[in-house]
Amino acid sequence: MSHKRLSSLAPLALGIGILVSPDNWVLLGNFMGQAGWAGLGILAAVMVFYASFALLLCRSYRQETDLTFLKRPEIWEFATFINRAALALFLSTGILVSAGFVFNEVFVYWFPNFGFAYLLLILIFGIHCFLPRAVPLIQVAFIGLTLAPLLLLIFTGIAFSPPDTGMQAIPLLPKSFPGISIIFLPLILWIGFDLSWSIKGHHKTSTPGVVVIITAGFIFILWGLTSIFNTSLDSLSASGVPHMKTARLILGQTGRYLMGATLIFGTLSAVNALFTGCWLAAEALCDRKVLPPWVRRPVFIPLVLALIISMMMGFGMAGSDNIDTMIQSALLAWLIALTARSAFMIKPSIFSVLIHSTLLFGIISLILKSGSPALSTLCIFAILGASFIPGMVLTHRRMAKRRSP
Amino acid sequence: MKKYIVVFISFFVLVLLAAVSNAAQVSVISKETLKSWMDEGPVVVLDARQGRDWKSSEFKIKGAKRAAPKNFSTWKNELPKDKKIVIYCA
Repeated sequence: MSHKRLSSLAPLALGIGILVSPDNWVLLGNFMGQAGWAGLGILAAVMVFYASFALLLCRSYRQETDLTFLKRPEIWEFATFINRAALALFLSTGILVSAGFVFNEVFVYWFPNFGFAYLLLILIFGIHCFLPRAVPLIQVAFIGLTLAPLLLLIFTGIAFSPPDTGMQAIPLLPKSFPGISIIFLPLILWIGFDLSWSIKGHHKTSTPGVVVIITAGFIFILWGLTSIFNTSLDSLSASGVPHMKTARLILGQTGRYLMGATLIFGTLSAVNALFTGCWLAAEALCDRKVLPPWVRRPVFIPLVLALIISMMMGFGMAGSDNIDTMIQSALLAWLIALTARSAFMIKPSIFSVLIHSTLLFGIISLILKSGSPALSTLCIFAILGASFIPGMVLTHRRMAKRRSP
Repeated sequence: MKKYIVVFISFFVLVLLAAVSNAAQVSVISKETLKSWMDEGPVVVLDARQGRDWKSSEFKIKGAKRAAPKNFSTWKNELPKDKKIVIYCA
């Protein structure tokens, strides 16, 4: 897989890929329904916050002396690989099945939803298998096909919003605490940044990461605005498919087709980004001889991921309530590993302390809010443990180095 | 490369067969039949979808009650015996 030849658009497409996953439109719709106008302000503030953070992190990365304590970078890379693999498995399983339902309910009602989910999985596997060199280009195409119908809906929804759902109906302040989505949605921007940053040769420039955050932030703000212009806040906050309701109110059946295309291509973008991100993390471990060289073969990681995902889909994992807890656990583990890594990289300052305090607050709030059954809790701790242990080892090493003359 | 693809396809077919083999033979009705039954008199409609299957669906029959298959032993006794019962899962 010639990721070394990625075009300048590829890191951007990789980062945005995870951010246009169908789950995020549900979170965004519920969030806007609960937050109203305040939601737009929160999203804008978060966008600026993370863009500043991305700049700071990239600047720190350029100062090579700051990285001298990273004697065992393979531990960080191993944690990254574990986190990405966990998210690739759980999120892909969930969103592929959701995409199957979208195809079944919006386009061809007689086509089995699981059949379509498997077709999408085979498509992604086939691309990685037969066209490994074209993966970045195809990812850019997926992003284009995801955003084009969405932007059309946004334009129509804002320019021709019905007069009965005007600005007067939308409260300035949130009616109630927007729940888990208010914490989770902003944190997801950071995941996109991390994916875009992981490609070789791009980690010393802040451009892709910052552009991912700003682009995704603007798209979220525009779709949030479109949602509250066209759909009642109660309907948005209570629905499991708020984006589809908004699309139907904007353009009727055509709106459903457009949103259906956004969701299906968004699924392809997210799954492709996760497969690629996972492969990149495995490749970094192969470079350091932590994993055997045959793992870097273009087909190996996608094959293992596709086999496990097809098994989870086949045995009804998506129909289980645990899948959302698994996805949130995997995202949490990724965020915690990122927070720990950046805490080592950024020089202590008031701004960096503020950033990390905010991130940790968000992460702890998420853990406290997720009331989950025993099996899911066990899974959370297993995944978190895999991320925490390398962090603790590195902390110990760093402290030992500081103590030595 | 070929052996990887063969492994994936074989496994994919195996998973599909295993999933299909779990489905027992049940009688199926069309949506038109259901509508005519609902017009004629009270029908108990149970939505057996769980997790994302339910959450990500746009279509939910009005008045349908959610019934988790894993809790069958709990809710089976609450069903009226004098009414038609329709269960849907997709």
